[in-house]
Amino acid sequence: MNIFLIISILFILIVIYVSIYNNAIYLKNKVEQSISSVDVYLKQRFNLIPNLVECVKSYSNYERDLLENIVKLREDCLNDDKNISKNLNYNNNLNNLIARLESYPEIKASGTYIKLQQSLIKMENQIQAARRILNIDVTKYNTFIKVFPNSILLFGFKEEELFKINDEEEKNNIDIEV
Amino acid sequence: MEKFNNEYNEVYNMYNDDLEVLRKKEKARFILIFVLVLIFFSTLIISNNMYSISVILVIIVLVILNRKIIFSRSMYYILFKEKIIRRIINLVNDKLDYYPEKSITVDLYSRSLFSDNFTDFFSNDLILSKENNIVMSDLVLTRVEGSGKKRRTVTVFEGMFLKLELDFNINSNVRVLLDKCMYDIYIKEKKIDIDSSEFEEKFNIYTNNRMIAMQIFTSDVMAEIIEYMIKNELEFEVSIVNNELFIKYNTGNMFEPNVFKKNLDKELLYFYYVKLEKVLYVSDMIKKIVNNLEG
Repeated sequence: MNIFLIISILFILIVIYVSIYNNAIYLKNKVEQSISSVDVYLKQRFNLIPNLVECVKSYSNYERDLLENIVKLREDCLNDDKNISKNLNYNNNLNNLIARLESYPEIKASGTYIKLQQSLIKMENQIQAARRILNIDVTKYNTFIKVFPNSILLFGFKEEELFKINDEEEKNNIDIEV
Repeated sequence: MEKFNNEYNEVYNMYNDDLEVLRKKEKARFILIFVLVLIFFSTLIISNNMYSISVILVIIVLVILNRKIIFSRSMYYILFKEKIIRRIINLVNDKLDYYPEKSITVDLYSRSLFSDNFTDFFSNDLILSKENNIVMSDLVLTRVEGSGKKRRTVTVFEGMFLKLELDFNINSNVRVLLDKCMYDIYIKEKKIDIDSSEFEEKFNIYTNNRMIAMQIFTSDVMAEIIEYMIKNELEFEVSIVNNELFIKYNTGNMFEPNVFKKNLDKELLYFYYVKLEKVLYVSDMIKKIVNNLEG
């Protein structure tokens, strides 16, 4: 009878541990999926670069270095591994390049440029939403692995970082007018 | 308020006398029916066959003699809605068409996917706007619970229901429902976590597309919705299904006169005017928020 009781208790404890472990894996996978989504949306912005080139090429008054920078940026991004902070850096460089186009009124008034701006706004919304989802998933995961008794049972699981803006440069919002 | 006051004074001068006569007739009808019902139930209490038979005969005679009053369509309600309520609605927006006797269909309501569990559906006071593609009506949903002696009817919802067409199709379902635990049983989609504790206290968001839901309900939008709801004491729920926006407002019964209160109750009419204004404002606000997704 005593052995039966001990086995039953052990069985219940194992079931509880497996359940907690599986939940942790599920939440961790969700976090990784969210990171991937943010990366995908950041990379999508670079598909706009050919449109940027079109904007600039049509006009005779353009800076050669501007066009070269745009093309180099795209190549760098496509060749680089999945890395959110690097993609963010490229993203900010892209914003800076687009902002420089503001100083060319003939480019600013073009239909191509207006469509580009609309695409950019749409993509910014998507990136913001993806970032928020990532932070919600990370918070949920971190809370789960830190509460008692999960913190004892899940000793192999490390906290994930929230999506934060680290660089001073990145914090400066670039005001792009349509 | 001034706009409403001017309209009210005009309406009062034009229709108050006629309506007062009709209201008194309607009041008499209520009382007559109430007395007849009371007499009928008394036969169930007093167990005397002769008494019961005599009473039933008297009731039948009274009903036949007063058949016009009892069974005729109340002119009071007709006049009140056609003349008074129509003007109140047009005061809010002159592009709205009002049909007091018409209703929305159960199919239209079912398309909203609000997932209420109801057995009876009643709708009237249909309001249409071709310009904004609005379909709106008063709606009451009830559910019968229990059986036998414990059987009772529960009101699931009583208020305004509105449908709008969006400028584009989100190809998803997003529902923002008041935080009541009973919904979880009826809804297929998962409840998503959101990053606003204030919003989460009041609402739950259910969707099959988390990205779209987060793009629509940004921090600013959620704050604006909560602020408006608290400031104006207007609870509502939202459902976006592909290219249609549905909103349910807990306004209570709208556009009905009160037979036992004074005629052309100014407070009551002002209540209807303000609620309708707020309902249309919120609908417009949410439509713009969703349409902004497309850029």
